Amino acid sequence: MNEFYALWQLTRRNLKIFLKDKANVFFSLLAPLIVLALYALFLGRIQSDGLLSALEEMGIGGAEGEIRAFCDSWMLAGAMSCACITVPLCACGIMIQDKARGISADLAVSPVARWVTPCSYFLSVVTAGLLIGAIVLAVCFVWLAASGSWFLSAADVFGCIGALVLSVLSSATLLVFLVGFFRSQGAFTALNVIFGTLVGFLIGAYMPITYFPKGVQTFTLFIPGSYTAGLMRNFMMGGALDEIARNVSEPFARSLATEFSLTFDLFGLELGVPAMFGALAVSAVLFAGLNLLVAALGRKRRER
Amino acid sequence: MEKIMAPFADFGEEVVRAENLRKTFTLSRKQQRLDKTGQTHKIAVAGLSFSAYRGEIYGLLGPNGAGKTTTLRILSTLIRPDAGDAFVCGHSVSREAQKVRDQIGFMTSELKLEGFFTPAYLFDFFGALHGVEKETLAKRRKELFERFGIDRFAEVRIKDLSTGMLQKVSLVISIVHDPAVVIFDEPTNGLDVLTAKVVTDFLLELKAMGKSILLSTHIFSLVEKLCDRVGIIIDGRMAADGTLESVCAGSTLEDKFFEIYHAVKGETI
Repeated sequence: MNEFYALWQLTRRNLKIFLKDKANVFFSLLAPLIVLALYALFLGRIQSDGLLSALEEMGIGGAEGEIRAFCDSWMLAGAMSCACITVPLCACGIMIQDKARGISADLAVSPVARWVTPCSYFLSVVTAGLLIGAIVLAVCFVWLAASGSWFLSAADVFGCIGALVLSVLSSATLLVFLVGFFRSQGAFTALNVIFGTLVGFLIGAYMPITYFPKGVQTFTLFIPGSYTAGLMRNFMMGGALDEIARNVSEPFARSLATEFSLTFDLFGLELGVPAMFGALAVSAVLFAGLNLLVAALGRKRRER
Repeated sequence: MEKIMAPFADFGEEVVRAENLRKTFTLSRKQQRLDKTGQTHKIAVAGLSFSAYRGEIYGLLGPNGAGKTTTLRILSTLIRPDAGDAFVCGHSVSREAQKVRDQIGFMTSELKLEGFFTPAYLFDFFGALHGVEKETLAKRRKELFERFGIDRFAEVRIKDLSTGMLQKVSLVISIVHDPAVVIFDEPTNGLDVLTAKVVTDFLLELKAMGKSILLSTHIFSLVEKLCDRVGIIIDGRMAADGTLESVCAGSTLEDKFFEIYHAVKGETI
């Protein structure tokens, strides 16, 4: 039989199960929605008031538009980055659901090659991440445009799309690897809650990473999601930051870039956009390799 | 072992043959605690041999932990035996797993259907996984859905079906690819009487369709109602094997089982 036809059918089935479960889709977007809610309630005001008062102390006024655009794009970059992690995570739920309900055994006794089912899980997780991620990104763009905070160039837009694709690939390989070790729905739910709670803090969506102690800042550099957030910030906030540099104060813009982690400091080494793309690519390749290794070891164990 | 040989003239050729199957599991610490044992390994199947023939229902009867499910999982290629081999329609479960999977339908009494799909979608989905041609699949769906009264509910969402109908859909999907051998682990376990009847009627219907059925159970009445032949497994070993009449030898199956159990284990219940 055509293995690729089976792969297509399984991927479609996994995707349907995820997308038809409205609650699951909602919870996959809970962390980004929390970012938006917190921003709308008080974070946005705190950030912009803080920055405006800092400017006032420097004797600069009349920069409300630029500062609001900067804060808006920071919040949206955070929400977008969360979505790149939480959506693939929730889409991984189908792996656990199939194990818990014995559907994995049904699939295992069907005459499809052993690689097809795990590969279909990975493809459906990536597709779900890209689909919903693209919708969230479109919403972010509409928000920026509607609120008058749009300072993105065409290159920035393509950069956001590239970052989304690479981030989803990186998250999917990592999460499929992690979730592969889980057997029960309860354990997966616990992972989901922990991830959903921590992810916003660890990638600097709720508050800039520079507000955390140095040790935590260093720790976040080993989380692939931090590079997603770094890239999204660069592409979404870069234009607003240029506006601040041009119309308000260049030193102030430079200090904002540092404070809001548009670059990372890895043991004295400054990591810019290419390095962030590189880190995500390395993470995707590393976890893809680990997934293959686990699959090969599992096969050997079955053959013993 | 009390080997009860019987002439199997009523049955066709051998479709399943287990030869000296052995399977040992490593026990995790948690399992050791649950089993209240210090042993790190558990012998689930200890040299099991038996045959099942075309067109018959063969029942593996034994207490919990006797090795029934392990045996069926080996035959379904879900796990590999440590030693010995089994053959389904002449194909080795160890060396020709893919070919074995083409020939079997594996069922449990659990319902594994997503609520928002329809029976028609799920039937086509599993048909595609089994590589059934579209035309054949459509014909088979019509035939099976009509035979089991699912046709009127083909496009109704799973979540809106009754438990009995759900069970029928689940069972029909398991034979989407027209397998020669149907393996059913604990067919009526945890089912209410009405749904259990759906399952037992379904198995008799499959037998009437010429399928070979291998099932595991610990329910005497189920064996008496359905099975042509029975294998009694105790501690991973075949304690008796043959037609119901030859195994029971005038006693009830229940009495005979406990007699064999006492002879093998040296303990009475």
